[in-house]
Amino acid sequence: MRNPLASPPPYLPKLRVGVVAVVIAACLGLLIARLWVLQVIEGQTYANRLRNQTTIALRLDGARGPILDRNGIALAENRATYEIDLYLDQLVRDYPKRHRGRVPRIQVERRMGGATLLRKEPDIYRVVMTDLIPIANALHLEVKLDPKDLQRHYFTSPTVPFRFASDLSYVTVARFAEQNLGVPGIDVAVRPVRHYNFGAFASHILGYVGPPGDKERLGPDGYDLETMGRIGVERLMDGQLQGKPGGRILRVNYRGYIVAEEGYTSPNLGASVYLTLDARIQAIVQEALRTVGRGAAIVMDPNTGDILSMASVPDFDPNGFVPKISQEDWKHLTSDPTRPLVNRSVSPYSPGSTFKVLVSLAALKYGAITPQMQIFSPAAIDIGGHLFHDWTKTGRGNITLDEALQYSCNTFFYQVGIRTGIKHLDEMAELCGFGQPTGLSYLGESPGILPGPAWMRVEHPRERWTTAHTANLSIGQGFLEVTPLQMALLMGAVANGGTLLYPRLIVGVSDSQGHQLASIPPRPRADLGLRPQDLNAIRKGLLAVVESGTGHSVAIPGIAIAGKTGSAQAKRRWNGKLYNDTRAWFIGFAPYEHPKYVVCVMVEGGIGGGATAGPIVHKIMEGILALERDGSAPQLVYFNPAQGNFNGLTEIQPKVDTPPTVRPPTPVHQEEGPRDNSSSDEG
Amino acid sequence: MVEKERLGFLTKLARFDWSLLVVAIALSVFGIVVVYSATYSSESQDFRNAAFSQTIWLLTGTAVFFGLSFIDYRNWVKWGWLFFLLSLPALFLVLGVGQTVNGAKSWLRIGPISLEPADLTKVGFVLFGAWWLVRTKSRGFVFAAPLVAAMALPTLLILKQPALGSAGVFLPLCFGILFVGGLRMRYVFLGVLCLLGVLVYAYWGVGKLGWDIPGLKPYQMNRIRTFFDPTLDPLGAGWTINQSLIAIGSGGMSGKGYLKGTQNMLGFLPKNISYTDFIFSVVGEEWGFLGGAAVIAGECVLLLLCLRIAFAAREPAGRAIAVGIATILFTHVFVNVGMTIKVVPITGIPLPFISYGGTFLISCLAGLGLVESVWIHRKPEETNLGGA
Repeated sequence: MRNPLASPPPYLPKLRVGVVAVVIAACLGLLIARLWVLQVIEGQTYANRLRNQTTIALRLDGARGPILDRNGIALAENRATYEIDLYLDQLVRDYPKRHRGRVPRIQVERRMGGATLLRKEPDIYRVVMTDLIPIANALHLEVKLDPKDLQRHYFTSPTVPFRFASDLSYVTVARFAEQNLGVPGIDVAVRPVRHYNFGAFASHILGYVGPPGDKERLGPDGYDLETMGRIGVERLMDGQLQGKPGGRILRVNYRGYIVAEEGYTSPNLGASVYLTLDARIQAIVQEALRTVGRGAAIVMDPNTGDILSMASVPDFDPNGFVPKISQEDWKHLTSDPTRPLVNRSVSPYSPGSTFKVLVSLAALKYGAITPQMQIFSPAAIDIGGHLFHDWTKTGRGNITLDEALQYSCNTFFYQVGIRTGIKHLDEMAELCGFGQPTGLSYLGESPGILPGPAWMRVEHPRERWTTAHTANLSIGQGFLEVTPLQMALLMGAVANGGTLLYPRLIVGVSDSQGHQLASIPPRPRADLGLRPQDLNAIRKGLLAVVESGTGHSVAIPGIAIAGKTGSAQAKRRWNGKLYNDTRAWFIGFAPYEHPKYVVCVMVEGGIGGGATAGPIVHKIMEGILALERDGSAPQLVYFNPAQGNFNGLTEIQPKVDTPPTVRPPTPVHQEEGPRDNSSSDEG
Repeated sequence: MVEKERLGFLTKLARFDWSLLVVAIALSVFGIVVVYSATYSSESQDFRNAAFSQTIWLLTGTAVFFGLSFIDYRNWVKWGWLFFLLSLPALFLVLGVGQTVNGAKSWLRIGPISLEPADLTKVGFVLFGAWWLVRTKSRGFVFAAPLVAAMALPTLLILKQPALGSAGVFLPLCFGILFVGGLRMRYVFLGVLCLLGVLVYAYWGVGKLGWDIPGLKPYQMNRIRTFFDPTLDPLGAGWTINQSLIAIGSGGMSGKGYLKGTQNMLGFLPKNISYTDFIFSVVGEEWGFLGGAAVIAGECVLLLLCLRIAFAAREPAGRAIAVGIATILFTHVFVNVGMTIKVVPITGIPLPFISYGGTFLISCLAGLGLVESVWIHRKPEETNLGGA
């Protein structure tokens, strides 16, 4: 070669260049192959991961549907409340611009993938405070924020607003708007919050709402619930009342800042629940009942079983549970010895003489007596070696059933009960639903106790059922326990001609546009199977009770009211002393010919059925009559909770000696709690 | 020693290989287009001007390319050792007064111009290698030892910055020059063996058994660890590779369309690297497999054109220059694209002609200018191999 430097080399340079070319082409081919795998084969996986990290779904809570009375008056609905929300990401983003400085940072420990890392994050507490303090000062709001809470919220969900203050007054909101205090990132937001329009009004029926517990957070759609129904209708109908949540799909950037909205579904109002309650009658009843310290009252339509009113004293204001009941309030409610949370309308009590209605039904049905049959009823009779007294000293002589009912003659019913036999008494009572729930279990109802030989074997295996027990049962004493609701239903059957109904509290459900979604028809439970003339005899007796018998205090000129009084003696241990805590009853219906209302009133700590329950029924019936006559009803106002008390208790002086001829000792049953009460008989 | 034959300007123009320039400019123009996409949505004005600046750099670089093409490369080879030595003080200097970018002190600021001395050293090393190749008759130890020693010095200096990616370019570069320069096969095998050893060490030792690599900074070690397991620190070192994989993977076959890459727009790909080191992620997301493969293919064509010139070179020095420049470009392409698709660990080096960066674009075009010069000044009788 001409060039000395280019002397023939001892190798093949072109081959080596070729090798380099092959290596390079191979390596780049490898890259393309990898690119194929990544983009074409696994592309969908990465597309999904991209979607996951660039979009967030926000749930918009649906507003809870209202609960209305039978005429459409809203008892519970959602009220708009105002709150101040902090949008943390926006505050951080705008900080440098607004305050001409760098965002303050703070060292934070974060656990990630098992390792704890130290990260620098915006000091969200300082950022928030810089903007919030002037606003809070202007609104006279106290700022109580936990820096750790804020930092965690900012890290986990920067796009979800942080609630700073809730339930602001209109004044505060107005001042906020007027003085234009808002800065981007601090806003007033409207939130629907449950509100019970009339306060402590049918509160035992409506129930209340509260924040869900940790284990019940998830709704049917798998998302967090805002509130859920706790007891009563709120709980039973929770699924219908819950609004269907809407949602927003937001596109976010790498910092989680929202850059666009991709989709929006508006949240829906939940369904409306219509109750059988008539708010006007409920107001009349509550007004009448709150004069006593403890009691229950029910007004029912005997033709449908519709509960027109159901009240229990003392009661509570369910608004106190929204948004969350305070610890003191809860303690106060649960430790009050008068037990305001208990719905007395469905709690078990000794029925006393009101139970004679059932005994009459059984005796007539099974032919133990006829309406015309006269039975000699002295001041006392001997049963199984024990003397059973009437509540009068003289006795009544030869009387028929209607007279016996009119004067509530005990000695008559001892004999009738024994003649009918415990088997038939129990059969009839069972038919009328005693000892069983009525179907309103969501009100926390008790089934009561219907004693009998079989019951005795189970509950008191050492005792045996005797005729004395039967006699006791015949005047509604002893082990027997019934709820006011059961008594109202019994009276309903007498009023409507012999059909026992299931109580109806919910009429139906409609969606927010008013289209009916479901309706619940009245439901008969049983036919009592009585001959009309037999039933009429009982009704006549009941009419006489009010006209000229024990229940005369109920009577209202111009309307025929029938009913039965009852006074069940019960004992209560209170502050270490034993007291008489008489349950005063009245159950009745009106008008006599075409009954439209069944009323049941039970007062704890009363004097007697006629004296204590009667005037309340009188007041209720007057109110209802006025309502029927000219539509005048008490104004529906905000009801403050009716306070409970122990008025009406009379102390029992401890007896030294016991007469040898008393009836078998009345059972003493232990209610839960510190009280100790027993019941004995009275007319 | 180098015999010069004087070629007239017109002769040179006639011998000019346009294909090299056309491919390089095509890639660069595409690069500007992608740089615009990577930066247009950014708030920062610095980023927004990137596409425009890059255009200026491309024009400047093209001028440099032409300038170097028409100057006989042997003029440079004669003084190869000097260029190399001159580039070393700059490496020392940058350790002292350099600007820190993305954690590495690798930029030198001279008035309005910032440059990365490492880029100059790479070209300097190519010229040094070509010079030594011509100087020594040995193709054994005497040939290899000085080159390996000369490679080690800048490698260590650059590692000190620390710029792992840039330092890593010297090893294949040195090996490429030695191999094509005619190193005896036993040394070649020794080199390949060492390379395999390093690979096994990296994969088994570092990847599987969790050994530390001596001399590496913790953050570099972290990058390497997250290469083997990106879930180790999803918000820290693993963030970039995860986001890059999501960007490219979600691009699919044909991409999301120009200016529609959400990973880049929404900032999941960090804005400060999406138009430089991670430009390929933007390509993959917006242009899909077709676009990404086209870029790799384009770079491949360019490299093969360089190797064709090495093939046609009239003497070893020219061949060494062409292969050396090709090796530098190849290493950049492989490491850069490879790190975005998790073939190699993340190291901060740019993608030739596509990534934003003035000095790097000019350096690449200058390197190609040298290669073009090798073509123009090749032996006349070998023109039949193709080209102009």
